[in-house]
Amino acid sequence: MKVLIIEDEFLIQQSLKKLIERRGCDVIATSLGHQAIELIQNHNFDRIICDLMLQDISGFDIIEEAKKKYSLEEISNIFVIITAYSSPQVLNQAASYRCQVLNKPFTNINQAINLMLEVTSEK
Amino acid sequence: MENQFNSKSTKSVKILGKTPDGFLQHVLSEKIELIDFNTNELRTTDKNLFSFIDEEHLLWINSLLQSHYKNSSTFSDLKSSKFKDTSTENYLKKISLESNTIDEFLFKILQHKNFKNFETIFLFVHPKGELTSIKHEVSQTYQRQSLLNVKEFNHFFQAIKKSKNRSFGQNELKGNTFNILGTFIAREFSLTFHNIIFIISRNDFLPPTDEELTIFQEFSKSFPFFLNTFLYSHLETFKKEISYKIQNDLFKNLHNMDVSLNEQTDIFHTERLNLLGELLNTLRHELSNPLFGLQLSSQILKEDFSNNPDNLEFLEEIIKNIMRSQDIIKNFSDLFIEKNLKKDIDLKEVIEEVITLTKSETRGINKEIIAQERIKLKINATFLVQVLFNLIINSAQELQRAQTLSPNIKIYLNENQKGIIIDIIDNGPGIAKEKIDEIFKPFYTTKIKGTGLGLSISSSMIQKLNGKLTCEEYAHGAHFKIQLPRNND
Repeated sequence: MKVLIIEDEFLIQQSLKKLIERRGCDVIATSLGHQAIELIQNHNFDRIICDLMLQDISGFDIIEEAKKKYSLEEISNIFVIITAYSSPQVLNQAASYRCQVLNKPFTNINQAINLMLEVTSEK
Repeated sequence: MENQFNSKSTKSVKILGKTPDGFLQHVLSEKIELIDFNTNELRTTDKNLFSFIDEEHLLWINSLLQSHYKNSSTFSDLKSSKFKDTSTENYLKKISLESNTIDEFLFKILQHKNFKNFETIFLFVHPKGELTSIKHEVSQTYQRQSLLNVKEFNHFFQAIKKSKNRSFGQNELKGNTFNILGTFIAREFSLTFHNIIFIISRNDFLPPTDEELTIFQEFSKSFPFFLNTFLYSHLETFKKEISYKIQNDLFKNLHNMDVSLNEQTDIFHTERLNLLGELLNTLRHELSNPLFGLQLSSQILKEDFSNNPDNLEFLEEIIKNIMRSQDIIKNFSDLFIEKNLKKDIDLKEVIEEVITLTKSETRGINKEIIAQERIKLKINATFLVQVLFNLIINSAQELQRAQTLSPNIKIYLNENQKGIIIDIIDNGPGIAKEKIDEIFKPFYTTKIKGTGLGLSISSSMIQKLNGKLTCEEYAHGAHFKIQLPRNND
């Protein structure tokens, strides 16, 4: 399974990368939104784990860009949003993409990672 | 006393976070329900007002009202002027604009040529919903005001309403306590905010002539409108005047006030707490990312060390501490939630957080929460936290000042049918019985640098939660009681 992690907090990014690699995944990580868009264009990821608050652009901007490549159905399956600020607006917008949303910090790390990597063909 | 009040109100204005203008407008437009024309006193129905403006301050506002009356133009001046208007309506319009008081207004009616044969005007004003009415008596030579209870007022009001010709003999109204001599013409009016009885008398025993009755009838057509407008605008004018005077005095004092920066920081006790809330929210956001990073990375190490019990134990401890830090930061920022947001809280947990907040101020003091069972309630904890914070700091300061041996603060949590009771009891010097009522008044303080606002603000915060903050008589220290309703809706 090919996974992209977009997260600008270095320790979180590297830890997640390692934890997911240990589940046998091939992981690329980036902290920049623009770089993430490029990566999405040039690679085919099975899963994209995306933080909403990035330095350059927001996670939603990345998803909007990804619409050029993926159908809405694919987006809802590929993207996993991780966020610390689950305000109603954010949750509403996230819900509109019908993708998975996980709150930081995770209460149970293993469970959270299982959820991220779960194959969700039917929702 | 006046100076004292002025400097005080300057502070209270700041505490409310409003401009003096806004504060006064608020007080005058919303809180002062009625200016009693008889006693010139302001009445307020809002008890909350007293948490910021006590009786002493109201007295001061009243004294402004009194001086207003004194300064209004003298009646002899008015008598000498000549009125050329022939139309009753124009005349009434003119005098209603010229008059400052109701008595002045009535006096001018009496000057009109149509009423030249009459000696006295009586006007009974009953503000709707009030228990008393006011009787104005105005003659060429004197003005008098007195009170009349509503029962009597209603009796006369009905009797006059039933009468056809509006003309009465001295003894025709049963229980005539009007002290009206001779025959008189009377008419009742129902205005927007008042019920009115208008009586005009010649002070003799001759019945009114047909001409006089016709004049009176014509007068009665336009009089209610102008009286209504007058009573209403009169109230507004008064409010404006008082507001203007208070503002003037406030600003004068603002310049004279020499408040050092330190004192000011003390004044803004509540602002400080609000700031603390913002700070905690920022901290939460700033700390949660690195903490989450630590949490994740230690998970990796934990997996790596799974066959190394010694290191694993260490790591477990690190993870526990990370989780604890995450909890602390989350709980603190939860305490400072938006003003109108209610959340389910565990009372004991909230108080534990408050005690942690006061840790440095209460060093060396034993603190204990005594609760028989878990108490859950839905409330805006922000206010409660601020009040508890304030009470605990107060206790701690007193215990330290009195150098009490083995100082302690005990907080008892109890529940009954009515609601939730929090007792905060210390073993310090306590509060003298005769001071118990004083301490909740704004600006009462025993501390050199105190503002005297802590308890008065605390009390109004608890009121906002529909509860009650009291100080109980207690021989071995101070005892404060917070009563909160179970349903805070």
